[in-house]
Amino acid sequence: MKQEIIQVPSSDILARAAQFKKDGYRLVQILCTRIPEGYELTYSFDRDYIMTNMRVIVPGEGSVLSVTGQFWYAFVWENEIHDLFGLKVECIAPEVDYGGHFFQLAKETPWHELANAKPPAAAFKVNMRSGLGIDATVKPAAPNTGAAAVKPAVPNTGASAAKPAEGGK
Amino acid sequence: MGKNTIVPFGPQHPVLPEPVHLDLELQDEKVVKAVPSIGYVHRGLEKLVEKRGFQEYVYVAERVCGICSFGHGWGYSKAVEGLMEIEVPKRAQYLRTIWHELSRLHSHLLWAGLGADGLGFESLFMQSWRLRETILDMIEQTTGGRVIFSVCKVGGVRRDISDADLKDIVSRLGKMKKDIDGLVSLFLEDETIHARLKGVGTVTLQEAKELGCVGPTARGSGLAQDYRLGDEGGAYKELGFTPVLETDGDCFARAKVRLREIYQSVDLIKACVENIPAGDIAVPVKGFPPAAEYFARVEQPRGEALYYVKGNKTKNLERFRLRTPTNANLAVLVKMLQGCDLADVPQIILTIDPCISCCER
Repeated sequence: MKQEIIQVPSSDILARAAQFKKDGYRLVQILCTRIPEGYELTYSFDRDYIMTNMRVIVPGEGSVLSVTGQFWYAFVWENEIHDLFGLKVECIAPEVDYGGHFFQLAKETPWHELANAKPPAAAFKVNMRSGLGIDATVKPAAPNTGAAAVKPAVPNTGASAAKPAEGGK
Repeated sequence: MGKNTIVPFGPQHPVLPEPVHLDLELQDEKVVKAVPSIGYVHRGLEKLVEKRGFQEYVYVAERVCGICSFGHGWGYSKAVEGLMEIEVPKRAQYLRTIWHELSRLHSHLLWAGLGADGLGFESLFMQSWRLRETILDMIEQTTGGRVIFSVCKVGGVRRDISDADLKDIVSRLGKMKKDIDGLVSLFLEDETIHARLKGVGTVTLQEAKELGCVGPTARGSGLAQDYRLGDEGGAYKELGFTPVLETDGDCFARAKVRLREIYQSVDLIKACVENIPAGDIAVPVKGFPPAAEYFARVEQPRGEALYYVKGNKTKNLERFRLRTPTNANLAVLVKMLQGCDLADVPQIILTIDPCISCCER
């Protein structure tokens, strides 16, 4: 199924949301992901069971404008994003801006930390445990075009096939 | 006009099977504002996807909720299958549909019991849950589990259902019809239930659209929104399907939608059994999810649920997101409670069929 994600600057959120509403779309959800640059927000809109996604990158110390003016019910996700991730959402409709009290949590903004800052190779090594019954193979990385590219690729046989291929280690 | 009073409702309350807190601002007996807060059963299950293998996580996904557990396992598997471009065998799609509809029956009968219990109608509560036991027996017969089945996996299903068991399911559902008729007629014709549910917590079609309602809450207001219509990966499109709609928009209409959907689920299961093709039940899954992302949706008993996965070429997914139906219906709940009588609050909450552990993940 084709899935469309439109990248827009954060200054365009309100105009785009208004256009989606005008075109008869329904806001399905707002997704927040912590990334090294800050926060990645994805707004999903649906019309006739086909979803279009709008993506916005917000810097770590930045904030984002609320879309409750267009989709009032977005307050659930905007309060959630504020409470779990610590991203400030400005101008939520006042009657549903719970000011950080929507989620009762022992730890403030538990998902604020950079969750995936470690490089993929490190994550691979850490999580490669035997005996889980996972039917998986690892493809060797594409040849590096830099200095390391001079080194011939290790043949993909036996135990070496399960090693991460980058760096020749 | 009396002065405003704040009455705390929950997190522990007789009508709430799960903890949600509402601060109800009252003017005399009327609610003028309801402020919800959740987080009492927040388990960080989305975050756990970073620590569990993408195939192993199916077991976690189905533990998001004890009522729609199969649907969560299916939704997660469907998202990973979309991400990895895996084609699920036809027979597995039918088997998934059968188990999903059995889950819907189990969920709606459970709701009927809770709804009756909330009204103080204990014999109806017991009648509903007695019927639910029969459904759980069918689930146990075909999966080995009653609440958490663990039959769904990325690439298909773990177990097949034999032809004899399929026939047995149809036969047992046929025998249940008389009992279901009795339950439904009691629910729909009892004067006490009419008095407590009719004209209470009314949401018009326009409001249902503007408040982003999903599931029976939306369909009770006449909004023909059911993701089984747009489904990919199930058997619904082949079986033909029309959503159950009611137009009154009140608590009674929402109850009626769920009760009518019991019959619909029975019909869908029978149609699945008649049309299920022979063949494989799963395909082998090789490699890791690519560095890409995918959204999948499933129509759960409470409404549309959305599953998002993001891969990074490792065994672990980078991000998993689940937007549950209760999460989407919280907004309409807040609106419905404004202006209602304090005595009607439990019924209004119950008729969105809230699942708070789903909502919090």
